[in-house]
This record gives sequence, structure tokens and C-alpha cells, in this order.
Amino acid sequence: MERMKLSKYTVAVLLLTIGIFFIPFFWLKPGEMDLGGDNSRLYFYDPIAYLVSQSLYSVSHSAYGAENLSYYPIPFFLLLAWVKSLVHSPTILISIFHGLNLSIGFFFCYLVVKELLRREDTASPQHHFVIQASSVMAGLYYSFSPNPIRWWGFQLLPMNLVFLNPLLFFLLLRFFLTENMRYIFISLLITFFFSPNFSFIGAPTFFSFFPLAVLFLIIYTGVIKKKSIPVVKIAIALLLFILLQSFHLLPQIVSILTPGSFAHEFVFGAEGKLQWGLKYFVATAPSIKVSYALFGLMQYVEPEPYWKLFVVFPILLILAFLWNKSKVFLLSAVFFLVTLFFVSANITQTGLKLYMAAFRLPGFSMFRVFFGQWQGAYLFFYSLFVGLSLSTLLRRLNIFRQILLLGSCILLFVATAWPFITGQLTDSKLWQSKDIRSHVEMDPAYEEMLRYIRSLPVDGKILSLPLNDHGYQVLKGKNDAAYVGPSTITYLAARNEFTSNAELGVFGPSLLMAVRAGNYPMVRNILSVLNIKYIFYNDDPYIYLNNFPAFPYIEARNFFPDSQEGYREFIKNLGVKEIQTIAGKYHMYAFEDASYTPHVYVADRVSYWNDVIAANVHTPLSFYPEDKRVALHEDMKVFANYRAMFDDVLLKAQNTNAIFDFFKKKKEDKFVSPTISRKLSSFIYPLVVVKEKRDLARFATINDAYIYRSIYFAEKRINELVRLEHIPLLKNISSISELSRTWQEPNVWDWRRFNEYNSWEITLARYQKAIEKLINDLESTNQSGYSAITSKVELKSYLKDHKKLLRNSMREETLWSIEDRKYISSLIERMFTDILVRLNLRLPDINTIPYSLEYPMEDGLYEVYIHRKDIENLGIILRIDGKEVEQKKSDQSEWMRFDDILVQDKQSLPMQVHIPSVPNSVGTTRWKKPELIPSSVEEGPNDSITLAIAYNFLADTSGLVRNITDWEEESIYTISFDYLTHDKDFSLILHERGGTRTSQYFNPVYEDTFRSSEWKRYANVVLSSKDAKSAFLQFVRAKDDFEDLNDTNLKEITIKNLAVQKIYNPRIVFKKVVTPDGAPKPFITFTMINPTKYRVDVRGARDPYTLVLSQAFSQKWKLFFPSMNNKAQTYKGIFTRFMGYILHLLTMPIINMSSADDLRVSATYANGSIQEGVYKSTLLDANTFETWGQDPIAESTHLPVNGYANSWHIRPGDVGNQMDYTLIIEMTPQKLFYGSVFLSLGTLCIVIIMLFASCIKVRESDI
Amino acid sequence: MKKFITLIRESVLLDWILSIINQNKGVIFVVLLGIIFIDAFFIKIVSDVMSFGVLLLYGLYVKIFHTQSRVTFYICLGLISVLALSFIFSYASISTEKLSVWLFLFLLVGITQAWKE
Repeated sequence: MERMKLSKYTVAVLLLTIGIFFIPFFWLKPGEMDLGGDNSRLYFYDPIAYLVSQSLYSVSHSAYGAENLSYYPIPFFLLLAWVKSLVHSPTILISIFHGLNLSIGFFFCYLVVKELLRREDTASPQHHFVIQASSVMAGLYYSFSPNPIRWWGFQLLPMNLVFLNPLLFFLLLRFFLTENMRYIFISLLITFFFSPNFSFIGAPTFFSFFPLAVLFLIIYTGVIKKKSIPVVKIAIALLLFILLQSFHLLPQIVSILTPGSFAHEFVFGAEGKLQWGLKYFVATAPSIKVSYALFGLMQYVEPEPYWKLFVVFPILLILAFLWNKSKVFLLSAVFFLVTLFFVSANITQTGLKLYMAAFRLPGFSMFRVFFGQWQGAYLFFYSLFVGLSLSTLLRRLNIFRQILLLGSCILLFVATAWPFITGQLTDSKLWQSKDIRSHVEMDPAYEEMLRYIRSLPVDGKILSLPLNDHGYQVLKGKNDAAYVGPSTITYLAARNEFTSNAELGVFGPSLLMAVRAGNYPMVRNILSVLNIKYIFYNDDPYIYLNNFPAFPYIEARNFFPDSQEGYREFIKNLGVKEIQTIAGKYHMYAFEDASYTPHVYVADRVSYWNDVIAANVHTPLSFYPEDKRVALHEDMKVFANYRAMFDDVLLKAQNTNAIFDFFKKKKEDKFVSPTISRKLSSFIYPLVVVKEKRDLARFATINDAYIYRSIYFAEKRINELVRLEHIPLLKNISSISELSRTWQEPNVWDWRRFNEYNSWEITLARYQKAIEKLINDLESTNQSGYSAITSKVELKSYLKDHKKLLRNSMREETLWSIEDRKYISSLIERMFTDILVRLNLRLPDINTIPYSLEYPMEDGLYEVYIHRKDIENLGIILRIDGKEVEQKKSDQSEWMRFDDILVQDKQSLPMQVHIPSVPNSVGTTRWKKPELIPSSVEEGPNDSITLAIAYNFLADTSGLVRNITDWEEESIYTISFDYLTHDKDFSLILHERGGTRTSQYFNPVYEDTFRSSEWKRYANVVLSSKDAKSAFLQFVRAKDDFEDLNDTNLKEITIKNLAVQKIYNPRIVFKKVVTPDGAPKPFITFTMINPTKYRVDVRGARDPYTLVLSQAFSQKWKLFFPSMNNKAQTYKGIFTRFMGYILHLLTMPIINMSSADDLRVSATYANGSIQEGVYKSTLLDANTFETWGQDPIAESTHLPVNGYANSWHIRPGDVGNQMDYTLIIEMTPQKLFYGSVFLSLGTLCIVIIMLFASCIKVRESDI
Repeated sequence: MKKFITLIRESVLLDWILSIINQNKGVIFVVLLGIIFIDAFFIKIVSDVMSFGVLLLYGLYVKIFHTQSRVTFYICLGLISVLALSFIFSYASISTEKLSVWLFLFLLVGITQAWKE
């Protein structure tokens, strides 16, 4: 009876805890749910559906169906499902779990502080009050300070750490103090049911808290309390913990240890450690504020006025140091500081560097979002510290002041947390929406649609429209709110779905472009390859641009229609059939079988395509208009090694026009513009010159590093002129080229000439010399990874920048007269003209486009095709290997066919497309006249024109303008014309207009200045911008000309023969003529047993064939032919077979025997040669363990096809020369899951039994 | 080596230096605090040389004068007061951030002292 007696304090705290538990019950109205966000909380809505869709199997239902190890939440979802079966409402379920989080977090934080204080002090009843009050304040700080209340707006699955950290800390504290294993068993059970916090995704929050917590307890028990540490019991606890969590840890550990896996790369790879981890850390760390962390405030949030009040807590903490030097207090302070270091990262630069160094450790990159991942641990130790500090201070105050202090703190918590308590904070407005609320009540009509989607008979993928950017779905609720979060079709209906641009991955750009261009055959081909059978379309205007004008449609709407009407039209053009409509707004469409490739099929043709399939799958597929069941390979090694496997060879000829070199971007990092530390007049400047020469002499070969170093030193000359003030002029130089030829560098010992460096002209001459030497180097044989053209084009862009810098600097020189300016301007202009002449950057012939075909150019007859659209109205002449080939009749609508070519003993095949007359895009437009006077324009014969502008009026007139017709995006154009400027500067500017629906632009994209004293020809090449729609040319005075009010002379330019011509790049494809072998393809019936296992019944397989599984390629998909002959004879195989037998016996009583023999057919394709069985989601049946201990077949020919899918080339020998047999396609991590789940369940039973045993033992000892 | 240490210990110069330091204990203390104040409010550059230099000098000060942890915590109290004012007027300005780091470092020194006491 003594044990049952509760003190008044305990009763008060329990009542407070219950009160806190009920707070979340006021957040949601009946039926409403708090879902959405980055991490879906749809598991509250339907835990079992979520479990089946997301956690039970090792493949994802998103997009291509890649490997996805998400077993960790299974016990948690089952717990949710059980509670939901009791309360029948997701609203109540959410409220219960939120309430438990809040109240248990508060209560156990209170208990931890109370336990620590109680063991320090067993003094007077007044001190009991202090202990209780301090502990309650610690709990309140833990639950209601500004930082934790904000977490509720961004809940993730490991959010349960809010209550798990204090709860487990308390149980471990009790264990360390009493050595009673009961606390361990309870802890283990809790970790099992809340396993997400102890999994791969929970690793950051786990490793940020538990190692520190255990260290705290060891120091507390061993050093402060002088008790022994129960090492053996801790080891047993650790072992039981690992066994208990093995159902998700084992598959995850195997994945981490498998080279090439995402987890392995994340933990051990340089990409994961440095790019993903350190780079993110370095980008975010500088903006993290130590002061915000110190005051317990949120990072990255606009400061609220009330935050200033929270300065009071650190002051209280430090005041406590003046009166409390107990070891517990100091220990909690140390842990507070340690976690402050980790959560803020900016404690001294040395600290930051240490932190950065830690990212080189395997796995440390999990702390890339350190300010969030250390918050749980920091808040806990902060609260502990607050509790212990308050206890110290309260003891020194009389009761009145105690109540005043406590009351103020409580008032502060209640006032600042009021929006949280009332639920305002969680019912946020959806981001970038028109104030749409997030507490949503699910629309019953949509629930009906979800049920319908689950019942769809064919195991094909779904495309959800309107397409968005990031795998989200927007749904209007029954109330006036919306759900914006991960798609319910992926997460609740267990159907593979593409809902966003991001999920389309490598196929995304080509699909988006095809949609924008309205190229429906191409759209259908891409969707067919992606195994898309259904289209789900939500035509509710509420969920599209009416209420969500930006997120989550920003990128997608630039390509897909930007209205629901546009979507209806788009779907109509796709030629799909509507199969269901619910509530007039949820529509389901299906593709006809001819436009659909089944999830599993026997490839009708196996083809090699020598280009990236995903970039343009439509090109090879356009050669198969009737049947899309092809297997496209792109890997040349595969083609070379398995030549017999291929039916067709499709080769794209490579355009080798040197014009493309003009636009190649070098990958190397550019240098930072050099700094200038020595004046040209400095007596040690000659040493700078010597150092630069030695630096360049270090390079044994002319490589890209040498090229950049040379430009760097040349740029240094420019920077000297630009940054050093008042450099003298010689004023007697007529040409820099002449000076650079005649002037010799002074020798080191010729000190009298050192001052020669100190002049504009000499510096320019040194610059010109350096550039000309570099041009010579580029033209000689060198080790650069790029062509001379690419390097010269890059050099030209530097030259343009340098010229601009010099002219600006000239303008800013205050000591110069206008004559000086004209003198130096003339020198600079001539110098750059000379350099450009020396650069000799000539354009290649635009009428003749060279192509070539390299290996594998095997012998045989080839059909030759050129894409019809690319050469429309051009009247091209095609020459292959020097011979002209004639056009012939084509049965391809998209392709123009030419004479077949016989190839024999050739390593490569050169060819040319000759365009007799390249259209001029300014041929049909006229000059437009300037809008501003004074300037005069005179049009002459043959499209020539003269513009004259007075020197004393150089305002920004519009000059001469010429529109360009048919300007296309990302295309190359040449601009050429003849000009005469009478030795005056003029500029040519190319303006482009374009953009997307969300962002329009109108920019001057190209500018060049030119000058001549006689007729000259200008020719250059430009690349139009992405999304460009139109363009025009403008000829104006040189932008940086000097206005001279006293000069009445005219600046005059005459232009003629202006041409803007597109560089054509027609697609040429060679298709090898192959006589069909006539070998019949086998008939198959495939059935999905569950998302990780497919049964394929094969009939009539006489010859080799290729089996395709349209699921993201993974080496972990294996093909089995269960038979006596394929039993693995290794130790692993024997052990696995034995385990399979044991597990089969164990599961016999619970398995569904009937499902294994279900032979019903749901669909047939290709004249009945492919049948699809009724798909299931059977976790365990009589055949679950049939492949255990079996060797997979056709491993060497398990290859990626169609840009993403799996294929196996099966030969009769692989299946014992049988013709009718059954194959199993299985994802192997699922097998490991089956094994480890039994390990976990076994351990769970042991833990429960031992817990009961320990409880009984305690009771007996009590008796 | 021993001889060298003994020589240093017995050196008159060291005695003289120590006596000077002893006579100017207060001045040194004020100078140290002054450096922190100047660093926080007038120097925009963040330098570890300054932080660890001052901390080292303060460590020597504590060692030579056997200063109690209470003194360090008083400094912390001063720092948090200025920090609080800085935060109230300018939120997370450079001064606020620098004072936070100074507070962290002095708390660490104070806790180490207190643990040893």
C-alpha cells in the first residue's frame, strides 16, 4: 500500500501530463488530418495501405521501381494500425500520437531531472518543492520553448525522438543506478516498436543523442556516484538490440557493404562524404548563429520580437554557476556545451575546421544538416541544464520570489507557445498557395478513386496529371483545405507511378520537350518504354494554377499545359481511352495494348543503338512502328561481347563539323583574376617578371594548365594597367604590334632600363607578346584535352573582357586629356585587331556538313535514313564515302530513305551532307531605322545601308535594327556581313527574346565591336539560348565610345551582304539489313506474386530469347529456374536451403496456400503470346522459399535495356534444354528480410519472456 | 635540461617579472577584458589567434594567481549580460556572435576550474 501512495506533487504533475496529452486534440476538427510536407505522414491516414505500399517490400512504388529498403517502420505502422482499429479515426490517431509525444516527452524529462536532483539532495520539504518545480520547468522547457514547438510544422518519421530521448534516457539512468535488467527489456521493446528512430533514416538523431547519453550515464555512475558499470549487462543489451532490429538493420548493412549501392556510396564514397556531406555543410554552416542556439531559438527563421525574452534562460544558467559546483551540475553543463558545439558548428574557426575534417569519416555525412540533427540532443541537455540551474537558484530565493520566478517562466512558455497550443502553428498555409489550409479532410470521392486504382487489373505504371516538379500530389479536401505531399497513389495504392518531372529522371528532358512541341508520337513512344498503362488525371481547377500558381508546378508547367483545358486537350491527343470517372473530376484513362509494353515481355527484336537511349528513345523506336516490344541496348561492350544476341543494329552518324568546337565548354576550373602587389615602377618588379617566366617554364608540355597559366599572366598585365594608378604614357608609339616586335625585355643586370616597365605602351606590348606566344602554342602540337578552336574561342572571350577592362580604365584615368584618350584608344583597338587577325578563328564551311560513323561499323548492307523534318526544303545532297547517294521511297513517315550502302572492311565511314543554299534568316526582313535623331541613314542598292552619327552626340540611339526570322532555341547561327567604318568603332548586338511561361527574358546575348578603314568581312558564330523564341540584330556606335562635344565629325558605317544562317544538323541513321531468322518467340504468362517476385510461365521456347522486366535495373534482380540441377553447392547455398526449409515449416500454419496456385489471366498482349496473370501482393505463400539455395540463371546476360530496365538473354542450356518451364524473377534483398524478420521476432519473444520473468521475480521478492 | 629549468626558476629576472605581474594583477585583468570588448565590438575579422591567445593568457593568469572559478563565472555573467543586450538590439550581429563564442570558451574554462576545485 505504501508504494501506491502518491504525493500531491506527483498528482499535480500527472494531471499536467494528462493536460499536455490532450493539447493536440484541439488542433484538428473531426475528420481533419495533419499530413503532407516533405515526409509524408499518410501512414496516419491508412497505416496498413502505407505499410504494404512502402515498407513491406524492397522495391519502391515510385517511378521506375528502384530498390528501396524501408522495412524499418513495420512495427511502428503495425502499432498505428492496431490503435487505429480501436479508435477508427485518423484524426484521433494523429491526436493520440502527437499527445503521447508531447506528454511523455515532458513527463520523462521531468523524471530525469527529478531523479538527478533527488539523488543529490534529500533535504527539507521545501527542497522537495524546489526539486519538483525545477523538474517541471525542465519538462516545460523541453516541450514548449520556441525551438521544439517549431518542429511540429516539419514533422518527419523520426519525430518520435521527442519522447524517446527522455524516456530511454530515464530507463537507462535507472538501469545504470540499479542494474535491474527490467529497464533494459522495457527499453528494447520500445526501440522495437519505434524502430524508425533506430534505423538508417534515424541514424543522425540516434548517433547525435545515444552515444552522448550513454557517456553521460557512465560518467555519472562511475565517476560521480562511484558505482560499478554493468559491462556484461550492457553487452547483452547491445546484442539483443541488434538482433531485435535485425529485420531492417541486416538488409541495410548488406546494402551499405555492397559496393556501388547508394548506401555504400553515401557512407564510404567520396561523393557521399564530400559532395553530399561536406559541400552542403560548408554551404550552410556560415549562416548558422551560435547566439540563436545559445538562446534556444530556431535557425533559418525570421526572428520574432518575443525571442528577446529568451535571453533570460542563459542568464539563469550562468547565475547558477556562482552557487553550484556539484559534479552533476558541471557534467550537465559540459554536455550542454558539447551539444552546443555540434548544433552550432561555428565555435571558433579551429572548431569549424575540426568539424569539416570529421566529414572525412565514413558515415559522418549524415550530419550534413547538423543544426537540425543535433537539435534533439541539444534540447534534452539544455533542458537538463535548465532544471539543475533553476533548482540552484530557487534554493536561494524565498517562497514569494520562487513563485514569481516560476510564474514568469510558465507565463512566458504559455504566451509564446500559444499558437502551438491552439494548433495555429501546425495548420499552416500551404507554401506558395493562395492561403490554402493544410489540415485536410479527405474527399470521399477520391477515396473511391484510390480503391478503384488498387483494383486496376494490369500491372502497368501510372502517369499522374497535372504533372508537378517533385513527386508531389495536390488534392482538394472535403473541407476548404488541400493535401500537398507525396502521392497517395504511390504511398497508399501500391501502384508504380510517375507524378513529377523529377521522377522521370533521364527520360524527363526528352518527354518534356516532346510535350511542349506537341510531338504526340514521341510522347506515346516514351510512355510506352516507361511501361505506362494508365493515366490518372485530376481536372479539379482548385488543385492547379487557381490556387497553386507556383509550387509544385513551377518547372512542369513550362512544358505541360498551364490550364486544365490544355490538359484535357493533351490527353485527348494522346489517344487514350477513359475507363473511369468519379465525381466528374477524377479520371482514369488506359492506353490501348498496341501502345503499351507489358511489365514483363519477350523482346520481339533486340537492337543496338549507339546513342544514349534515354536522351531520345523515340529515334530508334520510330523504326518499330508496329510493335514496341523491343530491347534496346546502348552499351558498345555489350554489343561486342554478345553479338549473337542482337537482331538489329541502328547507328546514328556523328556530326563532326568543327563548328561545335566553338561552343564546347572546358571543364577545368577557371582561375581567379590575379592580384597586383608590385607597382610597375618598383625596383623589384623585374623579379616579378623573372618569377613569371620561371613559372611558365615549369610546364614540360603545353596542356590546359599551361594555357590557363599563360592567360593568367597576360591578364595580370591588364590588371596592372587597370588597378595601378597614373601609369605614364610614352605618347610616341604608332602601333603596339611594332613596339612588341622591337622592344626587348631588360636583362636582370641591366638595372638602368628597369623603369621601362612603367608605361602603358610597354605593358600592352608585353601583353600582346604573351598572347601571340600562346596562340603559337595552341597551333602547335599540344597535350590539351580540347581542339585548338575550342581553346581559341575561349581565349577570344578573355580578349573581349580584357579590352573592355582597358577601355573602362582609360575612361577613369583623370590625368589624361581627350587627345591622350584617343591616342591610347587607337593603340588598344589596333592591338586587339592585330591579335584577332593572328588568332585566325575562321568559320568552317556551312554548306557542307561532315559526318562519320566509327566502330562498330561491321560488314553488311545498311539502310540509310535522314530525318525528314531536319532537311525540309533544303534540297540536300548526301555523299557517303565520296559517292553521292540517291533518295528512294520510304515506308517510314518520319524518315527519308536513301540508297542502301554496302560496307566491307571499313573502320569508319565518312560522309557529307551538302546544302546548296543555306537559307538566310534576314533575307525577307528589312532594315529598321533609328528612332532618335541626330543620325542619318541612307539605304543603298543590294541591301546596303549607311548609318552616320555625330561625334558630339553619342547618346544611346537605336542605330540600325534587323529582325531575324525563324530563330530557334539552342541552335547555331552564323552572322556575316561586309562593313566599312572609316576607322571608327561600331558595335553589333544580338538581342534575344524568349523564356518559359513562368520566366520571360529579353536580353542582349552577344556583342562585338569592329572597325575598318577599308571594306572588310565580318563573320562569327553564335549559339541561341535555351527557350529563345525570336531575335534581332542591332548596329550601334561602340558602346564605350568617347563623346567629344567639340568634334563635329561624323562616325559612319556602311553595311552590305548581311546574312544570318542556321547551321543544320540533320539526324542520319544507318539500319543494318538483317534477314529475319523466323525463330518463333515463346509464349509467356507472367504473374506478380508481390512487387519483389514475378512468376513467368514459358511455353514453346525452342531458341534463345530476351526476357525484359520493365523495372529499374538492379543487379539484385535475379532470374531463377527452380530445379534440382540449379541447387547451389556452396556452404552458403546449403545453409540458405536449410534455412528456407526451416522457415517454410515455420510458416506453414500461417501462409495462404491458395494464392500460390492462382492461374487466372487478367490481360493478354501481342496476339496472345503474352498473358498477364492476376497480380497479387502475397508476402508469404507455399512457394516463398522455393528459390532459397538455388543458383540464379543467365547472370552474365542480365543487362540494362531501354535506358533503365532489366533483361536476361536466356539460352536453352540455361533451362536444361526444356521448352516449357517456369521462371522466377526475384529481388534478393527481400530474401534477407524474410530471414532477418524471423531473427527479430525470435528475439522479441525472448525479450518479452525475460521481461515477464524479471517482473515476476520482483513481485516474488516483494512478497 | 634540469639545470636549465632550475636556472630559470632561480633567475632574478623571472622573480622580477612575476613581481611586476603581481603588482599589476588588476591591470592585466582589465586589459584582457578590454581585448575581448574591442574584439567583439570593433574588430570585424574573426580570428582564432585572438580567441586562443586571450584564453591562453587568461589560463596563465588563473594559474599564476590561483583564481577561483567564481571569477571566471563572473566574467561569463558579464559576457552574457552584454550578449543579451547585443541580441536585444541587433539580434545575431557579428558582435553577438563573437560574444557567444567568448562565452562558450570562458564557460569551458570555468567548468574545468570548478571541476578541479
